[in-house]
Amino acid sequence: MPVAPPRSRPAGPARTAPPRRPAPPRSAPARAGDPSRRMKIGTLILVALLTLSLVKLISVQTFQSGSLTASSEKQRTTRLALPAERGSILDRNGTPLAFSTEASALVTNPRLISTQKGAQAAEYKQRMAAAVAGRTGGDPNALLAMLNSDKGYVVLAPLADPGAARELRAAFPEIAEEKRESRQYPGGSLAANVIGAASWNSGDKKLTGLVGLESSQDALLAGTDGYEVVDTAEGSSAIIPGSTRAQQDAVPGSDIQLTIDSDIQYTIQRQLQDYVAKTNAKGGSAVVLDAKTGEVLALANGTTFDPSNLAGADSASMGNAAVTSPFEPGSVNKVVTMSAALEYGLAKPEDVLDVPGSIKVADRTVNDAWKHGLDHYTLTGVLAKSSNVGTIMTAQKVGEDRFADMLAKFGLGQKTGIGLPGESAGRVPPRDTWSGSTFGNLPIGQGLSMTVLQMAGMYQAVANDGVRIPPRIVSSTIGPGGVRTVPPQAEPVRVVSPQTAQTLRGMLVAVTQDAKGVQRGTGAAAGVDGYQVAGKTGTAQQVDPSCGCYARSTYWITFAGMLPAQDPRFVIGIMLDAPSGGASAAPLFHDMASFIAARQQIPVGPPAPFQTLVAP
Amino acid sequence: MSAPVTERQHVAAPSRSRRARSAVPAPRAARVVEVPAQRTRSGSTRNTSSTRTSKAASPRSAAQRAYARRDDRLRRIVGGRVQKQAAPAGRAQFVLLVMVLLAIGLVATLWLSTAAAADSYRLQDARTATRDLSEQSELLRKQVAALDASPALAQRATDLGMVPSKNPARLVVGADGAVTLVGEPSAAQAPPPPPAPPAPPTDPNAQAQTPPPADAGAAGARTPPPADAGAQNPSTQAQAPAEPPAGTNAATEDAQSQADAGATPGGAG
Repeated sequence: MPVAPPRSRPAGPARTAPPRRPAPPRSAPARAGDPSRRMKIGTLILVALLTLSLVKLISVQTFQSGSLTASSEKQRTTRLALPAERGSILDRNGTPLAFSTEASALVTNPRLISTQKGAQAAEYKQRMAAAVAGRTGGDPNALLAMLNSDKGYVVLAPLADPGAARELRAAFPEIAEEKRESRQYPGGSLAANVIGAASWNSGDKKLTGLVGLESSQDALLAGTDGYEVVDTAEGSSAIIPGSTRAQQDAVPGSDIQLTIDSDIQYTIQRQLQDYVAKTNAKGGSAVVLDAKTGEVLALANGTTFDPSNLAGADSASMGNAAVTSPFEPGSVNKVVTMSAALEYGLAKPEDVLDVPGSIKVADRTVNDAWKHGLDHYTLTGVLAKSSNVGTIMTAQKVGEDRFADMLAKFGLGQKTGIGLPGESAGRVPPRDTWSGSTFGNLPIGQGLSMTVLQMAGMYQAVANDGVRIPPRIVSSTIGPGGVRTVPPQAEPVRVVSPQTAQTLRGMLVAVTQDAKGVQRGTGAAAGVDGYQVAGKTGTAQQVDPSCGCYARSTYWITFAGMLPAQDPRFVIGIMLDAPSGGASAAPLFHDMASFIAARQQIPVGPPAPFQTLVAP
Repeated sequence: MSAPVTERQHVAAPSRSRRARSAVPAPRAARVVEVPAQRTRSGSTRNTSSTRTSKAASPRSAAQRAYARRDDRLRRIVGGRVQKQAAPAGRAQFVLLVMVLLAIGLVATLWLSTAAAADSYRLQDARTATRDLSEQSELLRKQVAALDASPALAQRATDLGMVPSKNPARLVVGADGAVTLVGEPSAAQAPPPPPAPPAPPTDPNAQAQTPPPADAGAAGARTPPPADAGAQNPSTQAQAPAEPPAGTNAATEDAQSQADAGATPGGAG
């Protein structure tokens, strides 16, 4: 049954098919239906696609690889700064005078709050202001005014505690936190003129010293910020773990240990400021030195400021007049003449001089401070009673060159190199510019200027057996690893022989001799019961800028002295700028010396022997 | 699945000649292979019965016989495979071992990830605790520094009624035990109440700014002359006696300690 149709079927087409038969082989490639052909086309397409992919792959993986990797890294890589903690400033006992703590600035966007909160914005801002004020101690009204301003960025609290900042941020999501470093000055104005102040610099995002040691030692205190190169998720600050590529740890700033003793500093500062206020002086300075080492134990000024409230401080009170403002020392400078006279063997303390009431030097006449006829003062008496005439007579024996040489040895006209910013060298007229009357001025401490520090340095040389050690205030710096570095010290200068220094101290003790009548020294008020005090008073006329001459009523009142005179341990220099009506610095010296004797437990010594000041 | 098979059996006879002429395409062969396998799975009784069927059907058409032979052949092949699978007895144990290992791995993974999650919470807690403690230590350091500062100490001493002594007398203990008084003991004067209200005690910075004038009392008694003319008008240290304030005891103790410290041979004279 199935056989017949196949037979008939090929027969039918066979007649017509022969011309067609060759066609199928020819037309077979053209027919899409042919599987092998489809296979070939598919294969070709696949191979082409594969080749294209291969080309692209090679191009991406080899030729573009560098730039693509770099741009992807750029997208992910974040460089995080690791801030270095600023070093502390310590006193000689390690008590911190300035140190840093972590703090946060609270900032927000009032405009955004207004748009987001709509009608409730006013009430919300009120709540926010109250909460911020409660946690940071700010003024709620000022905060509210800030929040109500149409600004995109306001700082609600510049230095909030991190804990308080976190709580406020949790309560008010609109508040953002910026990490800051807060500088603490636990002593307030204690030694503020020395330490200076540092405050947050929003440009550099770190604390920057503005005045004082904070400014001059900024590089040492600031340390070096570190950094960390990490990958972070796109649009987030979350660090991808294990993606740290480079890390440079921050090097914290070094601590600076000062030679200042905060207890002595506090008392000296307070006593000076009280005395300046009491005498209506324009200002004043005081410095306490260790007689043996030249270390500054206290350095105070009449006006000071609170370093944690720089906005409320005026620039005049932020200076450090004790090292920046020279003045004419007056009779305190007579010690130079006496040193030279003793050193060169030109006079002895008990030599009697016939001192008239005045002396003519070149074109000028120099008087004593009190009127007298021809008196017979011992050399000690000339110093103790501060006779200008007797001093000039002695200076003339010394001669100008040797006197100028002695001034230089005492360090006048040169910076001490204490390391405080803005130090003045004072002014001593150069030897070749001296006129005839110059030598009538310099021995009595007029016509030249010095700072309180230089003045104290002179007496330190006398106290230290004739060796002047330039004062210093930075005891050491403590590096990050606790490595203590002592800054190089200036070379000591031999000013006079130990013998001369000792003799001179004996003469200076007579200045504080508390005797009746004419044998009384000018600085008797400086004496401390139980101790021999060697010192010298000074009064120098100030220059009246209106006439360019010496003023009749305004003075620089000075006192420089040491304690105890037999074996001096402390040197104190005091200057009062234009106190009212004949105030003396000697009582202030007494107060300071009495405190230091008690504080430093200086053994009580024998009373000073009586010295004849005025010969019969 | 069995439906197409029966269908094909029904139609097998009419299409036989066409099949015989053309070569069996590969996909078809594959389909045919499936058939006995399915049948085998359905049961062994079917196997024997179909054998019987093939014997019984021997008088039938050649096509049917051929199908039966092929089925037999295929059944032998498939049957051999089944015998092979059953052969190794340790395979079940091996599978069990793998399953146990997989289960252990799963449990371990679960346990580790749970532990990691728990640890991350603990880490978070520890970090928070560390941060809180370091903040607390910083706060305490700040407070200690503020209370330890000289101005704050002086302020608290003043609050206790203590007065700094300007001119303490000293007691010197000699080598023979004799005590010598140096200076004139006098009561320290309390300063007048400060003109400005005292700063809040919590802020030592402010305290340092307005120290009470301590020596205002002594100031009135003195008429200091110009320093260089002091001999003519000697200043006096006279201080008006005052009620001994609370600070006197401290001052006396201070003098005592000074005396102890000052017990030098020179001091005895």
